[in-house]
Amino acid sequence: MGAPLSARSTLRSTKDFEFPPEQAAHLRKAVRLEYVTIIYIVTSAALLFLTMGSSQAMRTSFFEDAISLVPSLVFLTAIRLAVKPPDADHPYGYHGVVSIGYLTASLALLGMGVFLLAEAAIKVLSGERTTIGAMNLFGHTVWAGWPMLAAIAYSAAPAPFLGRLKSRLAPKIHDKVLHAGAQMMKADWMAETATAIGVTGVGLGYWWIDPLAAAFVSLDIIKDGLTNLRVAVDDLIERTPMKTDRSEPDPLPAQLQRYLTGLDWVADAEVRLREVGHVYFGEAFVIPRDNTPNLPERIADAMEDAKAIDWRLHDLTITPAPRNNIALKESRRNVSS
Amino acid sequence: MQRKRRNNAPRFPVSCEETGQSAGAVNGRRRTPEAHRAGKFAQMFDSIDLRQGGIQGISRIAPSGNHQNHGRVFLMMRCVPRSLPSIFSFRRRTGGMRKSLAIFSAAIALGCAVGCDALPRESAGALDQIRASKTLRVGVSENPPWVEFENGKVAGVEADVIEHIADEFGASVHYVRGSETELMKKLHARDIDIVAFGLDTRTPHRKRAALTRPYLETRPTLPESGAGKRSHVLAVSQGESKLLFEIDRILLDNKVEWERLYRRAQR
Repeated sequence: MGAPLSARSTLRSTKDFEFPPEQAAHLRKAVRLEYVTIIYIVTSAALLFLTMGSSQAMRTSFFEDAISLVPSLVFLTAIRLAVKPPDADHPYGYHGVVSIGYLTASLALLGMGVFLLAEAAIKVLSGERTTIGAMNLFGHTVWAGWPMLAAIAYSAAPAPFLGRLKSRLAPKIHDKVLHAGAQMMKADWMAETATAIGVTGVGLGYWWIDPLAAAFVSLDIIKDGLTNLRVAVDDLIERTPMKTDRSEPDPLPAQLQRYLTGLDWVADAEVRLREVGHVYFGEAFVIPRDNTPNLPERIADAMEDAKAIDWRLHDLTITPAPRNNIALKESRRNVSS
Repeated sequence: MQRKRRNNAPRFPVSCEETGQSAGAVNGRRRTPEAHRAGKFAQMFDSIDLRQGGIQGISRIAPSGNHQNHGRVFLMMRCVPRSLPSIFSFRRRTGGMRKSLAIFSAAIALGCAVGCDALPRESAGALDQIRASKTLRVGVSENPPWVEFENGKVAGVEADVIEHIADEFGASVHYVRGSETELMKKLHARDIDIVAFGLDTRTPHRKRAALTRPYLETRPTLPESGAGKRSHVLAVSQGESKLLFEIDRILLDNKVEWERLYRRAQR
């Protein structure tokens, strides 16, 4: 961390960021949900570990459970770091840690998925067949598949509910990590059903259903990793902002452009924004009308007023451009193509 | 992908008619997507005749199998979130999650319903073959005190365990002697059913054979034998879950007997 800001350095550095009250309330709820999620995942992973035995599908489910801790931990860590105020060494603040955390989580998912797929393939190719025998459960001897299915049921049942709660909060604080974790939890039931079918298949005498289910689950993990990796990379190469669920582009850049062109002293304007963590940074190029007096003050006012449009708009730089500016025409061509 | 929630979606609990196949008008409007999906799901249940083969699991939920009770299967699954604590202010699910929860519950229920006793089954019928031929083929290799060759006969702690198991299966024992590697190859090729030569859970053979549950835990008396306790097991060929289950059952039920045999062998 660098030296604290001096009073004059408001020109140099971005302002401190704080979630507005409504978003702060959503954030607190999200943090609470994440703690609940972590406790739930730890208990369900422990149960899976205790019951997994030699079943490859159970082992894969255990690892999938364990790795789904990562988005939750990334969210909790990034949330603390991202709102740190900017300093002389970090004039843009610390919002970027969210993107870094997201990238790390996606890579972890992808790596784990590939590893588990390879493990399942190697086991089959080396001639190993899944066998599930008996287990001593509180003094009774039961087929070990039943505690496995019970662990799977515990692991799968609450997940879609938690996932749904989180996915409703994610757009409200524009948090992609929370959204990613929510999507993974909501889709968890499919992978857990596959594992349940794997275990039941072994019980019915078809040992090969188990590694097949394991492969299916690891493909699911790989798919999660790849989708999130794409989003994380887009973030880091400063793609035009999309909505939290990536369904469509964010209307904010267009909104901002309409607002700026609506100002009386602005003849034309062009906007580009990028996402850094939860917030947007951006630049606007405006062509002021001829002989506009007090241009620097008007520009400064416009910057403040524009940021009030949306809480996510954290830092906007407005640059005046002359009429018939080739640079402005270029930027317009690049944006529209 | 977000689904738009309809405010006229039926809140639960509702009557079966609204959720089931006969749902026509709900709140005076056309059938909502949720009710339509509920109807489709009830149709799916209709088309699967689950009542064959003693499906106790499903029949407890849907005793008479008509539309009303198929709707109730749905209701039971939809009623679950009511019990969630209200601090999460959870109000309703959309059709997508209902469907996924229903499919998941159906998969688990189907698994249980196939019959608690029917699982596990075997892939190659090793246990049936043992019972039919009344022979248990055992691979042994000398490893006192677990397996000892005395006067041409096989003796030792594990030999006694094997005899007990064979008695339970109503079979006689046919011993096959060889080195550990040979025996493991034969086990993998299913030329023998079970091997016993003082294996423990850390054996390097555990990847190629299915280890049973430990029948005995010992602590090495000599310090150089390795730290920690050893869990002694037998091994059967992989993929034979029913055989493994039966042997595990015998081993776990008679642990007192194995301890006694071990102590006798120590003297």
